[in-house]
Amino acid sequence: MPTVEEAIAAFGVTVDPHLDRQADIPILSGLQFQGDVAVIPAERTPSRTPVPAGGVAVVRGEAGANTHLLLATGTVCYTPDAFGTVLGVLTVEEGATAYLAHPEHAFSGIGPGTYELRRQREQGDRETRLVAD
Amino acid sequence: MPFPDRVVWVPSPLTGALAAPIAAGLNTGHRNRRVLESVYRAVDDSAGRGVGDAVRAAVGAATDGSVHDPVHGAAATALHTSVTAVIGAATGSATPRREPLTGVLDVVFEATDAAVRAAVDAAVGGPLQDTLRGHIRTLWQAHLPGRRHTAWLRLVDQCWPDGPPPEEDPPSTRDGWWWWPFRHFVMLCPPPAELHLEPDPRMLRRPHRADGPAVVWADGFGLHYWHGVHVPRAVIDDAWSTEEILREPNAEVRRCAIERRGWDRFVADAGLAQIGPPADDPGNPGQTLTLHDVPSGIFTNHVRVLLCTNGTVERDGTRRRFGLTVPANCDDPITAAAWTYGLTPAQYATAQRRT
Repeated sequence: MPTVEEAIAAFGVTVDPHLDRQADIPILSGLQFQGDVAVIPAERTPSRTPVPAGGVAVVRGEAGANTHLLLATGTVCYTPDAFGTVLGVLTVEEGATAYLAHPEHAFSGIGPGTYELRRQREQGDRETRLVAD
Repeated sequence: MPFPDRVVWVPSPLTGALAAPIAAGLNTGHRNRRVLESVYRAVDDSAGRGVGDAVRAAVGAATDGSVHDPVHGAAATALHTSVTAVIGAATGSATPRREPLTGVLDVVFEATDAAVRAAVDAAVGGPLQDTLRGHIRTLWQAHLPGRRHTAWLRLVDQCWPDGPPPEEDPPSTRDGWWWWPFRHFVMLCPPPAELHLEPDPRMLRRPHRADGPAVVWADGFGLHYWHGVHVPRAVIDDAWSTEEILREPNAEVRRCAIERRGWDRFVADAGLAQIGPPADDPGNPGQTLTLHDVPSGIFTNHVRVLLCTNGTVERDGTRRRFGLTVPANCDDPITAAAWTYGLTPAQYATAQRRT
């Protein structure tokens, strides 16, 4: 289980200075949330598109800030599936780990398995709308 | 009819809307200094000294040394009348190119019109009336929308059919915003000095600023926006009481005022009924979720609001509390929280971690 400091060094992606550098990043295979993004274990056709070294922005924030960035050690695949609140399908191969990085939320560690990434929504006046954190 | 020989730049549409009619009034021979001073003071009081000084300077530039006789002055508005017809014809046929930023400016343009109207009303719309106030009330709208190159060129043709075009280039698409052509002068206003935008999935970008006006002109006149919605300044300043928010007739503005205040404070201030008991937030140790009813008339439709707490601490060590609106048929906090991610309550309850 790496620390925040180790993840920053490994990926060259930093997080807000007040967040604890020594905190462990749990690697989980169950349901977890990073702000307005949910990582949901799902029975989906596994993704076959490898995540590049620089990562994939699964939600892009304003002016590059507050982006949820998907990073990988080992073989991690992601296929965007922008349909409603579903962002895409994530597959983490055996022996690999995926991380979601966000400046305000630090890192979420994701173990082997296939997941759906979803965006949070809320009820608007006439329609549902996506939540931006 | 010769092209007006005085070209005056004003720092904001509000300054132009006040200065152009005053200058036109002075050109028609108005000489009552007492009335003029009282109008200036009314502008200072309602719009601030910055706008007041800009109006004085623009009026000075448009009238200094001009012919103050009623015969010439009577034609002061003639140009405007004929020009309106030209512009009408030009805009009827020309299709303006719609670029992303142009779309935003079009939206801002309409809001500017409403804001200038309200500010002019505040300055000279009171029971005290005189010739200059009458001019301002009837002529503030004597501006022509800028950003239409072809319209400007046709105006020049119309003004000066047999002579050379003016030496200065006409205002380009970028320079012109509003302009007020009169017999002896033309006033021009540049586009806003500041435009604060945020990404928007539908419009590409929309005006938004949480700590001041999103659209600002050089003299301080500005427009306030909350995520693309034009709102009164009091909404952004969070200056309304709960009663004032609930009395606001426009549902969209009401929603913005509530969001600006924050749902957690609004729920407490307005005493919104809690639905079901608080629930522990799975994956977010020590934090609870509460659900509250939001009757119709507050948020247009009947909805409920889920109050949540962030899984990560803020810079100051606190945790941000925020509200998410959910359908009115959600009956407990876990069902509501699950709905926001499209999960079943049983799925949501298995959450291992929230950051």
